[in-house]
Amino acid sequence: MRLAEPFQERRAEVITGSVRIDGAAADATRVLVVSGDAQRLLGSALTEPDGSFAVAVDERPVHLVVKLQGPLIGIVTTRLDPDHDEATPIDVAIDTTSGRFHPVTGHFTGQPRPPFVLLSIDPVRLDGVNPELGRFFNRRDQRVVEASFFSAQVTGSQFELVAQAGQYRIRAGYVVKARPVLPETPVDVVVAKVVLADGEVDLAGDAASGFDLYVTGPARLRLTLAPTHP
Amino acid sequence: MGVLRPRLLRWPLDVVEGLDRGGPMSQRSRIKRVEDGSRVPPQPDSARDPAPEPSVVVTAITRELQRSGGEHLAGDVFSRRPALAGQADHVLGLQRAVGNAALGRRLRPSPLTSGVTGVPTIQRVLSPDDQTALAAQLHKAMQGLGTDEEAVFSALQKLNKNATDAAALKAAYRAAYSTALEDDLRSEMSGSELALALELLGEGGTAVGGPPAGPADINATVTRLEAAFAGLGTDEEAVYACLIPFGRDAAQLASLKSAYASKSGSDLEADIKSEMSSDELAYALYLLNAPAPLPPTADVTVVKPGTEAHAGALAGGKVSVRTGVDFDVGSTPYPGGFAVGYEGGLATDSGWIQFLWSEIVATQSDGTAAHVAQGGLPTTNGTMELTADPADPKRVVDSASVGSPFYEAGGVDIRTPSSTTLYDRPSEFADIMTKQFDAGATKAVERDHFDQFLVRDYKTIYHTSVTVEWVYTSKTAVTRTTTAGAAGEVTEMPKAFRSVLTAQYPKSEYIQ
Repeated sequence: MRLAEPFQERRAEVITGSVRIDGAAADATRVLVVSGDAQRLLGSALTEPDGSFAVAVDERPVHLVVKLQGPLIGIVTTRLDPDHDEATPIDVAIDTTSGRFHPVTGHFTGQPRPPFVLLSIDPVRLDGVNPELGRFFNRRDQRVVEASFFSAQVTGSQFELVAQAGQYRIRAGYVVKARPVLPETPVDVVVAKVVLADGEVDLAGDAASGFDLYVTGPARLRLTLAPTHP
Repeated sequence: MGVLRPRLLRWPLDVVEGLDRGGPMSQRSRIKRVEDGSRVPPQPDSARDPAPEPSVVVTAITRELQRSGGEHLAGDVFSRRPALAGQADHVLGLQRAVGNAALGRRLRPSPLTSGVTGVPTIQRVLSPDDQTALAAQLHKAMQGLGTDEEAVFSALQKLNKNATDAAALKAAYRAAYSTALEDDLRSEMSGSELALALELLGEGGTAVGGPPAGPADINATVTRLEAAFAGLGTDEEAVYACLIPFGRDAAQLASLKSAYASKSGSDLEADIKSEMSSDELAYALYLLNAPAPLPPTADVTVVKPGTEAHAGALAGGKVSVRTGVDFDVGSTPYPGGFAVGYEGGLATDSGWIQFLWSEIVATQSDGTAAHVAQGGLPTTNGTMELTADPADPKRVVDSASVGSPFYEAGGVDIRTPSSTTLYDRPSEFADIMTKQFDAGATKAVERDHFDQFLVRDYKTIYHTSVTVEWVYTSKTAVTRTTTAGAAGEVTEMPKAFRSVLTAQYPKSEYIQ
């Protein structure tokens, strides 16, 4: 006969805290809680207008992953040790003037010019962030994964962002879901070439997979649009 | 009569020349060549048609009129091409049947020469199926407790006070329900409602006049509308009688709204909304805001008709959903599409509104499944958002028209005086699907959920659904399946759909 193991009640503790960017409350910012071994997503929350958040989890240690999804782009992580007291709120203060964040500007050239360009940027590896956590960068919660970490419709010819130092994949285009089917097929447009304007360096990559952007300082990009089927 | 500008003249004359030559080409190929801008090649004399096909002329003239904003005079085409003159009456009949108010207005006989006044001049040619459908609509409106008076009016207005059509409708009604239509009307209605119904049936009355011939008629209508709204209560039938003659002609109705605003200092649509509700409001807004019926068209060439996945019946008509349809749009093949069609009575008063929501589910490296979220995705008419929570589908109205929610207004379709069929072959979000594999996914599935609603006048009468699924097991290995889903008659558009419709197309508030 097997003896029953002592009953242990698993207590769901609530991790609370707040996110502030340059001293201001960060509203609607995604906060993930990932297991200490960086293998499992345990919880997810959006910050309130005052920057506060609360996530119920029942294990320690955990990683807190704060996603900055534009126009300030980056990932800030904090590890909570097993002895973390749930009564102690976690305050995540982000200082964009600390040298970890840099302006990234882009200018679209080429033809044809669609009504807008859907720009998407995905972090690959960021300075100061455990690479193991990379698999969660695009997670929203346990049910949803985001197609892009950051995406925006650019209606003009330029965009300006601020990005954390690190490696990103950038792509853009106007790929039309032909809805409904029309007598004339619309023309798809993609960014076929990205050049780091300072030094005229072509970024590695292609339109389908994206281009590798390494942010180490201020970056000026020139993105060339081209039709997918000339 | 205006002067035809050479720039506008050339195109339809090309059509006429092609038609004169006739030959073994199909009607579809003739239209296609004209749309392509190419001239129809000469044919041997032995291949000449004795007469051009009027429906081709109708299509060509209608499109030219639409492009020219009504400035182009189809009558001039006939005068320049005597060979077509004998077809003019037939063409007018067909064109009136499809309800192009602009053409009807241009081509109607002058009251000064015809001696006919007070009769709507946008005539329809009602088919036996039309009569069957009208009889069914009338019977349903008067069935059971209470009467749907507006459904009665919207049915009877299609007679345009034409005695022949009225007699045919009465016969169809008696044959179907063994009772006299007029008796049922008198039994179910009274007062001004009965008076309007009988007038529309051709039993006397002068409340419903002909189409406005100019500013004086417009101003007179404004005065009548003000009187209808004056005092306690509203004379709804007077409002209908004012709006019916406009035949949903957007230009004429714009003039009416402008004149009403100038004279009364208020907005006609707002006044209607403040004075009326429920069916009355829906019918009045239908008369005020509904797009005019679309002309016949053939945007696609069906290569393979596919398999009928759903067959349904309505009074005077039938609904069909087909999958595995191969069709061409111009020279572009669309294999494995689907078609949703209605064939039968009142087809010119019917149209499809298609809704769409899309979801992508990606199997993660750990075996779990997650919905993919993305917004701002370009479509041929705006943007859409992937649904991340199927309990809260992010629907859009799948129309290419800014002003009309009907699929036929911009999407590819085949429309005849007795049928309307939409053709569709969606493509997946291939870039998002393949990107999932870059992020470590082992499988990605996209499902596009389509719901089609058949709307006649201001009522939703049928619902069909189709789901298209793509399964990617790698970036390049993909399968696609199309499945027809729930379908059947409905009495209204479900709220979840109607809220999307009115948010995207506020002028479609009239659709129930």
